[in-house]
Amino acid sequence: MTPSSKYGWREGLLKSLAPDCDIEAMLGDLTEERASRRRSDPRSSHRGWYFGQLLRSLPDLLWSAVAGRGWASTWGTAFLLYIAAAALQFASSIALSNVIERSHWLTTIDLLLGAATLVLAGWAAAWIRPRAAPALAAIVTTLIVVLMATGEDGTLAWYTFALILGSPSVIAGAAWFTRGRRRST
Amino acid sequence: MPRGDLVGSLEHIVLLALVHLGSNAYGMTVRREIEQRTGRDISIGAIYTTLQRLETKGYVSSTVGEPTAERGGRAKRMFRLEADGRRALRASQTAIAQMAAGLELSRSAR
Repeated sequence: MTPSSKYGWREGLLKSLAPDCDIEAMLGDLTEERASRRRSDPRSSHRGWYFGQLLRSLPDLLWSAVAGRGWASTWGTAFLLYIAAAALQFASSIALSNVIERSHWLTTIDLLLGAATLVLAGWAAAWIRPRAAPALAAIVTTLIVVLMATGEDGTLAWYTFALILGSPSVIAGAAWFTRGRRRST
Repeated sequence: MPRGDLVGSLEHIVLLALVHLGSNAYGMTVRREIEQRTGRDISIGAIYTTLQRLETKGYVSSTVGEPTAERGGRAKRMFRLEADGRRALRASQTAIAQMAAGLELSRSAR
């Protein structure tokens, strides 16, 4: 019998951000308990309970992933990769603004460039040190929230939303892809 | 460490759940045992990270069981309390009992 290979985005996020925990056993436990709850209360699917458990587990697993043994080099790697990604994005933004005159497209292209540099950083983090990927996601999310909270008003709502949700997601996606490739090689 | 290390409160509760569950201790049963006995709905992630910490300390050991269809083809990870864990649990229980001796914690106490 092989484990179900289909994961929803919540399971995928959990698997990519919590590399050292026994996620398979944990997901099995949740599946078993959900089946048991369905037997005692067949009228409800208990989806809310299941996904609530997944989301509530995330902070503990994230903390365990980044605060375990070797936390200094994990955070150091993540911080250096963040600096490299920020420098790359800054350089490409400067280059872009010289080529394209300021227009509404510039914001979108800038956002896509940012996403691309974060994908690259997430991939590198997971490749160098799997625990550095969740640490990088935490650094980026914290900085975005701080910058948005202290910056000028007038930032587009969709832009803010895309940055806060999108940044850790693209890092997680890149880390997930890298870990899958590492396992298969 | 002549009298055993003290453990944290969640570690203490998880170790006690392992004693109750004996050979049937795995993530789901530990979570449910705690929920039934204390009314605390602890996330499965918190249970696993606590068990992992206890395993690192040498207080528990784990083995991987057979996958079952009910679990979506995923295997159980069975946990067992080790002698060091039993000692640490006893030391924590004793410390709490000694600290609580002579105290009356009434409901109205602030």
